[in-house]
Amino acid sequence: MFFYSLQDNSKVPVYKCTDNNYVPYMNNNVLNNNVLNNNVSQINYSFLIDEIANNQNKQAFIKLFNHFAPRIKSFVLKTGLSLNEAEDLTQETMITVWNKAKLFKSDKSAASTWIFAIARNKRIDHLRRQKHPLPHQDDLLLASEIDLKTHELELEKEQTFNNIKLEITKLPKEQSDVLKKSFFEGMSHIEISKDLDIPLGTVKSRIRLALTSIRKKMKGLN
Amino acid sequence: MYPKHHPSYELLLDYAAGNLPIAPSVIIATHCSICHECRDTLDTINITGAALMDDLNADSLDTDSLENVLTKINNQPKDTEIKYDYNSNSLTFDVPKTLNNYLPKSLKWKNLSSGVKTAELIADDGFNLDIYRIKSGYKIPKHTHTGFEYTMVLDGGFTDNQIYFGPGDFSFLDDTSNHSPKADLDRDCYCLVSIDSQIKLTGPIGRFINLINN
Ligand SMILES: [Zn+2]
Repeated sequence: MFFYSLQDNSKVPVYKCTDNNYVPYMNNNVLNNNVLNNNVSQINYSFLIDEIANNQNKQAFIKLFNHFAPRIKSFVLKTGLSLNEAEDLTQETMITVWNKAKLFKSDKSAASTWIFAIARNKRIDHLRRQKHPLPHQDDLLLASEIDLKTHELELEKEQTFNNIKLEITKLPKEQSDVLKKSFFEGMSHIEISKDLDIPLGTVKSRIRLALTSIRKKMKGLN
Repeated sequence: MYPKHHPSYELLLDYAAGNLPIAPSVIIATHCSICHECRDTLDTINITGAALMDDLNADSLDTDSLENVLTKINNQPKDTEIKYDYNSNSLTFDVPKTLNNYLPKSLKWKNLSSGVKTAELIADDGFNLDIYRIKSGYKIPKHTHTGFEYTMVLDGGFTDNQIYFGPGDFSFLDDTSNHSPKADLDRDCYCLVSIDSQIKLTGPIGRFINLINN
């Protein structure tokens, strides 16, 4: 069923990867089912989005759907919306992934970062009945064009994402709790301070410490 | 534009997670659209949110979920390219495109005082988003706030408590701040401003502005 027929496609990229621990999802044995059934964290989701953008590849979409849709639903439920709303927002998010695949910049962010941001913004739009304002891409002129092959960066970004996930599990609980209240419980930092009955300054410093250590990790890895 | 004054990490987090009302969200999005440093921080916040979400247990979907989505994708008109609305507006300087969706074709200026005009962009959630036009050299009377004030300079600049704010600069003031910004001498200063409650002005002209406001 999940036969992934990319062999007909001449655009199969050749990956260069210096990290031996990283098994790219796409390689010369694209159709080997063992590759498909491997640990999901090793799938190169960015490549699947590029496949949608360039070739309207439905099988690539189904693979993305199977990984992301259940997690998106779980996120929306966690934020307190109903089962129906969660299902609707999940489906809307995945349709947006299909429609906006061309706007995904695999050299700039990991697939997960992009898809989950769409999900978060859908939830915000839904609650506000108004679009969440996002920085317009044209407003920032990039100082210099990045002269690296997209696919190498793509792998790097996917790998960074997995490393950041690991880094977050290492954060002190008091820091990750504050982040979870922000992302999952819809609380502003002021509301978090009231909810936990701790000074505003403490909340601010937890946020600052958490983000600084994650940012350092990102810089170190890129 | 290389802004020198940025929103704090906690405000950027509130914005990205959707925990700020729309009016200050627009100001922060507009600042981030022209600020490398804050985009970097937003990237960090986005990757953090995604990592937390990726860690959630997967919830079961409706049985026909995938089928529904595939049907909708198949049945939608081809080429659903994303189009942006570019409003022409009556401002004499360039504004970040992020703001385009919120700018009416013509701004309705109201006099707040002899030196300040305002035009409303959004009235929502108890927060207003306005453009303030402060006459060159004009000093806004000393005032405190009963709530929060978010500001971003669009054109020109002002000095407040001896700190200079130029194009792109962001400022956040809470209810303990007492300030009196003065616009540059050579040109009018345009700012995006969002205030979550009525300004309480404490100077002599302030009482006059309060009267107009109430
Ligand atoms: Zn900034």
